[in-house]
Amino acid sequence: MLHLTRRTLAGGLLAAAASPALAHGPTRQKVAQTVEVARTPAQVWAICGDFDAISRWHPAIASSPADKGNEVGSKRRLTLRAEGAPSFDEELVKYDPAAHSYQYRIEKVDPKVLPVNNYVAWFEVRDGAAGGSLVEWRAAFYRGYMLNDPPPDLNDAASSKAVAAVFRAGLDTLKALAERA
Amino acid sequence: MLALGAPALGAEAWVTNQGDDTVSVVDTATGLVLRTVPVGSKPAGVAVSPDGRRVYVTNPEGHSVSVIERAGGVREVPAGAGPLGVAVARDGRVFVADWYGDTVAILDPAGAPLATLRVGQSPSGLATDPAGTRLYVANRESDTVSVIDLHTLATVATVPVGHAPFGVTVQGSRVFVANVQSGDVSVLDAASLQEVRRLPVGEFPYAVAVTPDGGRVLVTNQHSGTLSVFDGPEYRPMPDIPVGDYPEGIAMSADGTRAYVAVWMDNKLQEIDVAAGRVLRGIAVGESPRAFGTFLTVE
Repeated sequence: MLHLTRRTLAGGLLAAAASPALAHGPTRQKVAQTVEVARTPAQVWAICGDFDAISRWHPAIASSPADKGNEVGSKRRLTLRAEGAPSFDEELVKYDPAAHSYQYRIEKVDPKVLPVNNYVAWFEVRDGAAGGSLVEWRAAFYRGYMLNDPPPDLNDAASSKAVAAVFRAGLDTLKALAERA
Repeated sequence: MLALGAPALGAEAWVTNQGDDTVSVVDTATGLVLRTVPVGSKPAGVAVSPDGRRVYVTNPEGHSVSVIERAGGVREVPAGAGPLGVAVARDGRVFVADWYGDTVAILDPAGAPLATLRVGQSPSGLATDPAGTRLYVANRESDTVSVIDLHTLATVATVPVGHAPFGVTVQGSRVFVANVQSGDVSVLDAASLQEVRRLPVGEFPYAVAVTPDGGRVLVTNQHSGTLSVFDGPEYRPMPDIPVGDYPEGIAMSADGTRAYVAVWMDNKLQEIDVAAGRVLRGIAVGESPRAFGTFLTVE
């Protein structure tokens, strides 16, 4: 079930884009979401561990081919299940299969698609309760509007809400997929 | 009879917690959080006054500075559209970078405005020299450092550095500038005001701490989750120290044996053994600590 978007990941926001010349304002946002999965970390990682696997477990992402697989510097192109099939790239920063974790960043994304700037995220599958797993997805970023006094749909709260919705939908789907087997 | 000695407390770390609008006051000897001080909205920058009596905290979203009396009491005073970096000169004057205004505000020790200086674009980190003669300003969007004479308030030089300079630290005759986008540190000579070295570090460096003898340089790398370390007068690279996700503000103890790093993602203050190059302990602080500035008291 895809309930987080109408035409974009952020829900079809329309607002003036920030001047690309100006970098972030002072307040970085943090979003962290987790899910408990009743499967071992190895079983969960087998589903979601490859950098290009995200379209196979995230309901909002139609495709996610990566140009260099799981190598640091590899870029996966996310194409969304949304009107106009918007797409953007995510770049692998760290990849640690032994720790079941990776880190990636977004160089540039249209704030109408995802209202964030200077976005970096961590994805990790850890030991959970009773032999299961705890999957954690965390991100650090600045809001979609770089200048002071952002419009309401590109402010801190709206940007954090958009990222949290993306994470929630992905983690809940990953749990359902892993536990169905 | 049970004889407990007097508690041996050490220097305090004043850690701004951007996520919960507070400052955690950590005793560095015991690792205990002594108290939590409410400040303004989304605190980021911090500077302990050289006399140790006050702590100044910038509140970027509150458009203000919190003036904290260590003996007790907090006042919030207006400070431009986007106050970020803050520094206190030896004479007690307070300097506050305004990210949006491209200016540095000068306040008296009580927080009353004295003057405003125009600098480069998006000033972020500030540092004064111990003699109190100069102010260094990292202009993030201009890729420069403004050097301001603190007697005349004239800009005596505008020094080109790396891409997106942020944290500035003065140690002896050297000025260290973390360049976020180029992933390196510019080392300036304070006499010639020239860049004398460019040290490659990790991804998104943020701030620099240096031992009092200048022998060790530690740099927080936000995206790498590490400290880059350099040793000796030739800045020989040493192994990185993993510290957790999104390390930001860093400060050195007065004796140069310990460094303290605010780890934004993990809500921790990490204590580092500088000589050994490893984490000694993590101290839980508030939500999203930044501690951008000189956040250690000198006891």
